[in-house]
Amino acid sequence: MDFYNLSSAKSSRSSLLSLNKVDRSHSKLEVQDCTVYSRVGFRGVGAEAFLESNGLPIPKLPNQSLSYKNGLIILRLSKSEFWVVDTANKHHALIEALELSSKEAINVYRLYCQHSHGCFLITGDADLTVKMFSKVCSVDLSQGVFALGSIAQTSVARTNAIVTKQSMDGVVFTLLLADVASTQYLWEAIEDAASEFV
Amino acid sequence: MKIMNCPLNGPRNISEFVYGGEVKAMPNILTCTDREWADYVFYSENTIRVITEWWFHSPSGYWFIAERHTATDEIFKTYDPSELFNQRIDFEATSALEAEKPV
Amino acid sequence: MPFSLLKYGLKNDYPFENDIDLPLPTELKKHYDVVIIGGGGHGVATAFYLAKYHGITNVAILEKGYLGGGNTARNTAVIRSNYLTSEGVRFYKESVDMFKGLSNEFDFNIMYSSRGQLTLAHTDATIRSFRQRAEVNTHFGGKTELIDPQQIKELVPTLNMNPADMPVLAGLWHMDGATARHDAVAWGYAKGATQRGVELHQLTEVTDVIIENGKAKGVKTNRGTVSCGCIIQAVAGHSSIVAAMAGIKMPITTYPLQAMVTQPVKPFLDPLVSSSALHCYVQQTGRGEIVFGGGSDPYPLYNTRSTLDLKESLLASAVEMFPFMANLKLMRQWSGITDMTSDYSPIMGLSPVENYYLDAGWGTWGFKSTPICGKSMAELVASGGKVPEIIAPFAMDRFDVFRQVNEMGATAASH
Repeated sequence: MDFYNLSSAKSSRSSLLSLNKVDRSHSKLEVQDCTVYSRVGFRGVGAEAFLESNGLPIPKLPNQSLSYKNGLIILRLSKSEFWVVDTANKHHALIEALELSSKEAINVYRLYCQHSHGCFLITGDADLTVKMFSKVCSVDLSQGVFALGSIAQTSVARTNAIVTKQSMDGVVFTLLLADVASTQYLWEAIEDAASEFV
Repeated sequence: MKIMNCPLNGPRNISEFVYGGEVKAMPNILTCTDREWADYVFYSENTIRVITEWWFHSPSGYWFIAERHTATDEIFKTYDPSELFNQRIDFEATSALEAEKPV
Repeated sequence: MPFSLLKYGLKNDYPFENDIDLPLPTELKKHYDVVIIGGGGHGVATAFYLAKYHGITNVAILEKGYLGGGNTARNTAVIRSNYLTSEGVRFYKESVDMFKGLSNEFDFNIMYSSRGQLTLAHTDATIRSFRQRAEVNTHFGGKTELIDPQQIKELVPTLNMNPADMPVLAGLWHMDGATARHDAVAWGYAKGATQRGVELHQLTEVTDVIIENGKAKGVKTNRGTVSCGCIIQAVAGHSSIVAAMAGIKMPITTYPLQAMVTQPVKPFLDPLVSSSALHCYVQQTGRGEIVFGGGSDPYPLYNTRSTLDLKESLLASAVEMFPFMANLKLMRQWSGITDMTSDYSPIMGLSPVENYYLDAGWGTWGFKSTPICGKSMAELVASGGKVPEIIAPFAMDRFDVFRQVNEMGATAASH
């Protein structure tokens, strides 16, 4: 096989992880593990045109994200790097199709963010979310500074991470993407940080 | 903590960055001598002045260039590498392999 | 007793007036046979052996600051020889052996204390490299062995055997490991060298090197120009800058290296303990203070500032290893400037300039090599440039032919 499609191997992803792993036992903040949901990244000077030709909206500036439909989030991580992240586990077919068609595109390089990163979704009171993050992250995520659609690529609980604030159906959430090898550690760290907000 | 201004991500703790060495011209790997290659890889002025160097913002995987003083540690300027490099540089690894003949 | 004290107090001549350690400063002479740039441990040791073993006493040591005030005063005084390569082990082993006799040789106590050094392995790969180091060390006559967790517990009962969730699997127990008072080493050498006629000029900064027809002829200093037969450069932390005065470019990058020390506590830690994975080493001094050190700073800099992030990460590792240390207070922090080579071995011997000898690239391994370094550099100079076999592998041109002596794994965090 000359092109191994990681997203299409959805069925082979570990079923040991619960698709509905949610921590809400001790906190007003709810953390959901979306690691096994589909996502794909593209990089290169042709990446922007490629995504547009596939009908996806593009954030205008680096370090901005936007919410497309039904929990599909598009992140622009640099001038020429984009991630498409499914936070609702509904867009696998679209992501798979994107991935396959990128094979033909010029100056587009696929990024393996499906398997390189873990993905957590944090919901709950906005102020408490900011307070929780201020314990583990040095970037100011407070309301006035970190608007909806902002991205911070920084260190969260000493792990490299991508943080963005988005909304779906009027519910604001924070998306946290970090090295997949650290997901267990980061889950516990976030759980611990959130546990004081009862 | 010391703060560095990332051209892509803004001011961040210095611990988010990785030092990537001085910006210097690479000799042509196909034509340079071993001594020239050693000079490029190992030798350095290593003196006290403002140097231009590569830095990497680890959480975003972004390489950029900084101008920093090697004694005061003052960072004067950071910018996207496109200010110095306007086209892709390819390394002809395959031809280098062909040129390598068994001794 | 009070009366005898009063008697001395009222007398014009003091009983020990003539028994001073270092002669008073003199003017610089016009010419010396040998000029040594740098009055740290290596410089004064070289002068000592030149005078004692080779009868060469028309020697000037030119020191920008004061005797032993640079990295000689800033290192954490670890003496060991459990390196990885044959070239390295043979060299450091001889140094350790020489350290043992220094107090007698100087008639001056360097407070040599042989307590052994223990390096911890947390992975199978590290154990394999430890096996190799133990074998190489044993081959060259050192006392080093691989020990198991039970033996480690007996040696260091206070050690957490599962620091940062990385269980201690084995240890490299280096019985020759030791520590000494680093200042005293410099003072002992300086005393011995100056007693034999060597001149030590402190506050004398070399500002330029005079080269004629590719040969070193003299130096310019802030106190005048001096001609000489040959020059030895022995400056830790500024090797590239001094070498540049002689037109020499070096394969060196300079980084700060930080260390810190706690308040004194009762003796609890005999060996010097270092963890390969946590990049942290811990030792208790004779005064009871606990010294911490780790890896070099993450980027090059000519500055001896300390940083909060290094302290934070280093102390996090130290507390993992010895949890009770969380209750201790730090007393001092400092940093030295280290000239790192890419293979973590020094650069010794000839340079592209005739009669200009290099003793450089001492990164984080300089103090422990002081005696052997002085001895072999003196031999090199006395023979007119015949490189002693023991330092031949450390020639600068090893980088040109890609024949490095890789000691990175045996150096990184176990100075």
